[in-house]
Amino acid sequence: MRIHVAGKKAASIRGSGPRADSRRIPFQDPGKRTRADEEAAKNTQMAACTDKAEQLKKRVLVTGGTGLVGQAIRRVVEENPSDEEEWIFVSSKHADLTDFNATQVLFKKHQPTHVIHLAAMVGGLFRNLKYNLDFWRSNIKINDNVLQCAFLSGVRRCVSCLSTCIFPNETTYPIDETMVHNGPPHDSNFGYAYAKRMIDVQNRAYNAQHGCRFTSVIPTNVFGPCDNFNLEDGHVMPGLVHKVYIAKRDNEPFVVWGTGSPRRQFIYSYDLARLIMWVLKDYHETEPIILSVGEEDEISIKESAELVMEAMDFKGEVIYDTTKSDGQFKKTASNAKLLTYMPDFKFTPIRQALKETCDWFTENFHTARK
Amino acid sequence: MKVLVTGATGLVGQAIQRVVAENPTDGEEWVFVSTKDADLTDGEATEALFQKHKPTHVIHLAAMVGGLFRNMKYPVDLLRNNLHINDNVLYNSYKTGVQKCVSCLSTCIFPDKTKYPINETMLHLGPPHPSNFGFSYAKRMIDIENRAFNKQYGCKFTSVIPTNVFGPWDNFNLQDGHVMPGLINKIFSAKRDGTPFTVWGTGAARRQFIYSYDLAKLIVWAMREYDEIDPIILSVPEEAEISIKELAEMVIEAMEFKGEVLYDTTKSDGQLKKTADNAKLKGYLPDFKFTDMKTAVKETVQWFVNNQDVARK
Repeated sequence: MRIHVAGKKAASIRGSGPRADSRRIPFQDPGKRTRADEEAAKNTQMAACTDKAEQLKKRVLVTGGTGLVGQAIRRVVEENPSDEEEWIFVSSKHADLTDFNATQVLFKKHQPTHVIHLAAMVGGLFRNLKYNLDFWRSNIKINDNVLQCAFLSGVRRCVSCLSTCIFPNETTYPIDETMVHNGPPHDSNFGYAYAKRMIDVQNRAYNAQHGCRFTSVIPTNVFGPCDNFNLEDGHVMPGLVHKVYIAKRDNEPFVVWGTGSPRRQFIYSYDLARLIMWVLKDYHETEPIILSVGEEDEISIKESAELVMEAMDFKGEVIYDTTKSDGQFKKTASNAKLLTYMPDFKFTPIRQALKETCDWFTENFHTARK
Repeated sequence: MKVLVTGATGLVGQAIQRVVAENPTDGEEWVFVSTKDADLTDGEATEALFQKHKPTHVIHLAAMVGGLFRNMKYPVDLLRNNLHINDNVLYNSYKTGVQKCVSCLSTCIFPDKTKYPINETMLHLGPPHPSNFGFSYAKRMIDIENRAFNKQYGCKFTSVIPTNVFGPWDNFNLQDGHVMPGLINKIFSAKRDGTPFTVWGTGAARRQFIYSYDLAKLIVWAMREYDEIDPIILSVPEEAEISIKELAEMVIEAMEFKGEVLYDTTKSDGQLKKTADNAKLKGYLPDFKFTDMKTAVKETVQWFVNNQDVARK
């Protein structure tokens, strides 16, 4: 098996085993693509899905390959090598996915059979509030370019990544996969949220018109090594880890914003990666699937803070700054669909997951994103 | 003021051309463009168009549209082409410093499961009907993008939501067109061939119709004076809603059809009601007079009869 970061050892991809090129749709400028071409592509792609080509070498392109989830997928891939698979991890250094031509060049270069699409413009609350338009436009372009290039190059499976923050703001709990489009998202990040929702709409459209097998996953709060630990832009768990680190280093109190009572379901990036690999291989619906621990594993921010302190062996003072907003009290997501598919899936115990995350942060403090 | 009108050769665009020709205003220049002038799905072509004309205002009517069957068969194309067209027009409007851009939505993009009458606040409250979800989502995103441009850059981009539009220059194709032009085309053929005129369904479904000429006047008003970012429904009031049967009878009268009329009740009625609330419009323009329905139908029929060579059918 070859794991490959695009741009390095590019030549080694060539001649690495039998290729399904006889079935591959030749790359064309979409502007010149006729209706007849579309029909041919559809027929070829559908045939490719069902015949022996499925057993030939898999070439998986992972966009956003250097991020929190991408790095976790790399770890899973390294632990489970296979001669039948080639993995290519790309990031914004290799192609600007907001540009169609650049995306096309990337797909032409790597000729993937499968895509895990993680690349996105993301940000914390403040960045979203200020740049709703940029979050909308950039993500719509990235997603449209990746899905269209996946379609044009006959990619068999494409799994994209949504987020529980895109669900309707006014809703009943627990939320489930059928509820994504049932009302407007929270106003603070509507640009990002609608762009992500359009992935699901586009997946369904490609399936209806061309028979493509594109789908999406919806994780709850992800955490792990290689996260963004920035206190302004990052999410709650890496924020707590970073704060405890500083409090310990500087011998100061550890301040948690809010009362600590909001509740969240956390999923370790390593578990999410394992589940995404399963989705790529064995989840055949176009509709999204929530990837999360169960409702009973929802924990409060206070409990999360205590777990982080334990993982980092912090013995100092803890203060809850109740003047700061708690944010949404609950965002409980149902993982019933996942459980019917994978009733025996074992999530990493949160203490172990946090220990690994905190240890990684401590060892990589100087290079971690913060 | 220099106004760029995209989609200017279509049903609504032609009506705007008529309104502008009847009401010339000093200091105003109107530029009407269609696909012949630029492929708006192409960012560079759209940029070149805006650079060439440097509009101060935009009325954005261009879209990839289609009837039920086209929508069901090509959701990707309807979604992507319209997303690209809309983003290219809005983005270039922003780059060119356009002071106002009015885009056109449609009542068919509202949530499928809803209460009636529908109003402007309900647009995003649930998924649209599955038969045209590609088109519907792309149109809805105009409203999202308007809000985002306003929030980030203070742009004044807005949108209007007409109910069923009809008039000269419509698409009278029986497969792809809408109900009113469809009835006109059918009666024309029935009259010409001496055959019965068959209405699909029971005739019980009810609709609000707006004459393209009235819609054009309202869109021009919106461009000049409607300052909200949120969309506004442009429609006759609820009490002017009529059944397909009443509509058919109006068209029969306008075309002086004396032959047999059949209702093929094996065919679906479609949605029974789509009643839209025009209270917001009434709040702004309490005295606006819609063209009398009989007059509007007569004008449309006459245009179709006299323009068989150019009518889309």
